[in-house]
Amino acid sequence: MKNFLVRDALVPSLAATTKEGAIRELVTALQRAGYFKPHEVDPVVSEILRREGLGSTGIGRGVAIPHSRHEGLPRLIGTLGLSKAGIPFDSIDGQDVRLVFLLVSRPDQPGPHLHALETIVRVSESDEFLNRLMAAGSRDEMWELIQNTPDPWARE
Amino acid sequence: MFGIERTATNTPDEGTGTPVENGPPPADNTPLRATVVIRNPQGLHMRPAMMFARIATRYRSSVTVRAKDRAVNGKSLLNLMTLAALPGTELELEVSGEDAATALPVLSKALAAPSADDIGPLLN
Repeated sequence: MKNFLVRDALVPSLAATTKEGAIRELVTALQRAGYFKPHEVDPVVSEILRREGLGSTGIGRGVAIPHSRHEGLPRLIGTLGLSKAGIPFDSIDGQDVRLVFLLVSRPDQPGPHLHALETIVRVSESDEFLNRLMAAGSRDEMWELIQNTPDPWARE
Repeated sequence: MFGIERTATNTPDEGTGTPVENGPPPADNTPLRATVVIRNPQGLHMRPAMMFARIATRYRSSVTVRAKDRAVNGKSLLNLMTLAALPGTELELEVSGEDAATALPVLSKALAAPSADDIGPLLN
């Protein structure tokens, strides 16, 4: 996860209470971390919302992985936002989302995107990991946990 | 693109993730199998995996998707995503149960679809 999540864009407490708001907050965080130009925020948000319209990326257990592809990125980038209150996301299990992993990938690099999806699915199977993430009160605490969690697929 | 054969083995599901009920065991214990190559240029990403799982859950048969070293429940989106199947990956699809013969060609077509948009009509 440390290979694609951008430390400076992590959001320990999302202010947004809607799906669209959370996505905008996280894309803006990536922009402030230097990965997008200000005028790219709107098109990236729109593309992620268009993708959500084809089927929610809420995978259950309070986790969602909104994503899109975007030309011109140096590599796959992502961030994570935590919501203590929970955000309605039309998830497959109907639960509100508390962990939003947002990914933006290069169109020509499906491999890193597929591995990132796999990694998020696998780490989300661990109640302990999800609870510890939710307990993180700062960007530094989130990053420490992310850094110390090996990518499950890399162990095989 | 894919070949269909009968075999006598029945390997248990070794998938990970949230348990999703798979179908009942086959009455005659002879699963149907097909080898399918992923043709979607983005690989088996979330949307085609979700659509495949949705189609698979419509059948009573169990649906197993096997990569080189592991097998997952084809009715579970989360299981399918752990395959991280890139374009060109060869997967074995195994369907066991009373409606296996109906399910296998539809599921093979869905898994081999070059785009998630091509899977849509199979849902109707």
